[in-house]
Amino acid sequence: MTRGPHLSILVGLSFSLSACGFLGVNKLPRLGNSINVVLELPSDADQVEQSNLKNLLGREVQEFKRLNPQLQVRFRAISSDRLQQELRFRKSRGLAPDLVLLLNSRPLLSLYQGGLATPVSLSQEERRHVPSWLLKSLEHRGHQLGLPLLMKPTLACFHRSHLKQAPRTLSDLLGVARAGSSIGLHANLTSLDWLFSGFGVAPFPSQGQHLKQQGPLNPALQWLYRANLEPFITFVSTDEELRRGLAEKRFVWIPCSSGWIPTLRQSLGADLGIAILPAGPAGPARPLVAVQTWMFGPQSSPTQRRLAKQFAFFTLNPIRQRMMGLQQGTGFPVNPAVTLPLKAYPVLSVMATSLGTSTSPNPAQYQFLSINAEKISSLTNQLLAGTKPPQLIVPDLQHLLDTMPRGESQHE
Amino acid sequence: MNEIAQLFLELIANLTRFEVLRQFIALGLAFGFWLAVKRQLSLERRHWIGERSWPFLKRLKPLANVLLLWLCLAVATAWLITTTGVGDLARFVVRFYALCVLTRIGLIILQLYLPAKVVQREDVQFIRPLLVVIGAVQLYAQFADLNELFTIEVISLGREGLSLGSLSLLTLGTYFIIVGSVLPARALAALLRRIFTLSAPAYRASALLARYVLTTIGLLVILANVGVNYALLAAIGGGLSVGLGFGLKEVFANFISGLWLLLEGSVRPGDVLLIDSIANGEDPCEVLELGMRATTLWRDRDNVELVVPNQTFFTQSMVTYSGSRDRHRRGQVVIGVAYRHSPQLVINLLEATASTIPRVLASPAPKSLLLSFDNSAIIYGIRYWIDDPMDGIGIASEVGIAIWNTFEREGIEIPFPQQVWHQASTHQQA
Repeated sequence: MTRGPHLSILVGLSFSLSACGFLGVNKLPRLGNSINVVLELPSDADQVEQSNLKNLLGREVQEFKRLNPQLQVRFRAISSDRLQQELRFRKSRGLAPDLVLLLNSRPLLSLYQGGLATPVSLSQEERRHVPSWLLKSLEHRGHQLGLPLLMKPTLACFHRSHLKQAPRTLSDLLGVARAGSSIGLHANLTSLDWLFSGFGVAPFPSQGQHLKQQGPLNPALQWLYRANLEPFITFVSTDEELRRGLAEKRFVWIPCSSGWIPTLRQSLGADLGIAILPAGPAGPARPLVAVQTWMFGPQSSPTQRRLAKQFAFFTLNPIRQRMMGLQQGTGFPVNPAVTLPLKAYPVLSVMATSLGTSTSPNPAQYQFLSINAEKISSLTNQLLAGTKPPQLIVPDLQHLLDTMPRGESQHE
Repeated sequence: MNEIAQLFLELIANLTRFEVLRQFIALGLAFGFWLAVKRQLSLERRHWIGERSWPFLKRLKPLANVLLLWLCLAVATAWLITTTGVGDLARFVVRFYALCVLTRIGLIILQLYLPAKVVQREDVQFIRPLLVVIGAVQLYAQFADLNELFTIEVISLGREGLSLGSLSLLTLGTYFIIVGSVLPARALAALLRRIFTLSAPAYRASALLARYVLTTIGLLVILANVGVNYALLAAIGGGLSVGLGFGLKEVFANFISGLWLLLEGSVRPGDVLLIDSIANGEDPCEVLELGMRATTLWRDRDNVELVVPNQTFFTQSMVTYSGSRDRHRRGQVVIGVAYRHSPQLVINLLEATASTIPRVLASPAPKSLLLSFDNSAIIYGIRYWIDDPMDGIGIASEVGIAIWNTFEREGIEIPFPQQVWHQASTHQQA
């Protein structure tokens, strides 16, 4: 009976030794010279978007290993709906990844507070690779929770065959719908931030910004109310419904993330038009920009931490950033030293224009939205179902905006 | 293969991470502590409280050190998790070890109801390999993504490839279904025996049939899970049938014969058959197992197991003592008695003597007959019935000895062969 465990150990050792011989001992990773990277994939992404994201990171890993052959970088993709659970599972076993590439900074604070992320310290020299406003949007109480990699702004995607040009204003958008072109919109106030900003509402207010937003809130909600009455405007719950709706030509115009462009291009080809979002009466739309973010793991050794940082900064160098921007065409480089041929790449040009007015919530604001998601959803439902008129929703929404943490900075 | 090698390298890299090493060191220390303590305690030899009142405790004694090891590992893991917050890898090891210990306890309980040989075979052929596979797969799952491993294509068959997961399911799944169906089949047969009051051979036959049925269902489920291309399967089947026609004809014929015999019920495990023997005429043999290719028979006189191809029973006539009526067998002892004794007296003595043998059945009663008038003696036969055909030779010996003793006591002569020589006449001599 007691021979069993000893025999198992012997068998295990012999198997390991023979496997080492089979693989070649020199291929075995040196202690600490290897890092694990996790790539977050959108849970509702299709094959094209998934493989785009995997290829993006795969190319960076390959290039990094080519220049540093003694180092091992392994990456694994995890769906965003399983990310927290998977990271917790790995951490509880001492296997937390050294680096995680998040789709955006939305889960950053909760991951940090859950002990699944660790802040990174940056020197002045290192800070020069990223605009300070972007770095600040990833800060929490003086801790740098992550490093930005690419910016993915919210744009407008439409069918060129139906619309010669995209509506420039929200009134144009209503006009297009009244003319019989089907429009798809998010049935979620958080995702309609760009619309509110057109009416002068700052959905993610920065430090010192006055809270007197009740004035513009009401017309914004009134516009939504009117839009809901239009038979050719449809409010949908998920990104996937919007994306598929445009690809299957059920919608003529939708707000879209720049990350969807390859998928839509595959379905629509040259018929796909890209533009900035329509402006409101108070000025241009200030859409939310999703910042693909590097997050550092909590269980790395000092060597692994150094390697992880080295790899993250490798992806931030101007050459790699430019390559990512041009090859991928879905994200805009964060490194200010990168110059892109915008005239030759119209989509990048639209992205650049959109980024000029985009906002990026900080981790605390994202967390606030997650905590209040149910309340916001309830308000949206009341508005769209017509159970409560816009003017009665304003106070509740105002209260939410008042209690939202202030951002430390804005793009401008 | 390159992908598998990459995953293996990743596994090694993960094993060398500090937090992982710390967990294995903690388990190693617990193991060292157990080695030191078990010698001091010597639990397996020590008298346990309540051991006399509950004999089952005695059976658990060999597991004492194993349980102690589990306790040491569990305490070390709990301490590690409390102090560092990280220890689920160690916890996995402890839980898996607990599973191993539980299976040991389960096997001990099983031995109370099943023959030790059966339990031991299940342990060696099914439980231990299954634990090894579960342990290896689950350990891998602690470090990496199982889906990623199982989706690696290992065999390319035209447009459709075979993934590692499918290959594992085909090979390991088939093995475990074949060896693992023994106990469920026995349980099913036991249920059938209880419902239909089956005889022992019928019970064994139904256990075997149930095993074949369970194995077939299991294999079909595996094939459905693997997603076998049925057109490809048909093509392989076609090719195989040609192979069966030539090379595997005998094997296939034996398998089908075995299946037919089982369904027909003419040869079933537990049956007693008479097999021709060159030296001793006919030998009764008990059917131990009706296998896929051959039947294993047990000959009691020299404790030999005979492996006879199933086809033999299918093509040749066979004498069985376990037909549909009963297992009773008629035995006979033939003896010569001197002419001077009254045949009626001898017949009475033979019948009375045979009745005294315990293993000779009282009903039908022993019957003696005058068989022939030979040169030296009158030949009588005493015929009797016995319950177990396998005991024929032993009982015949007992009857023979009893007859000798009776004849000795009653003064009945068993004559030697006699021959009368006549001398030639005198004129011929002259």
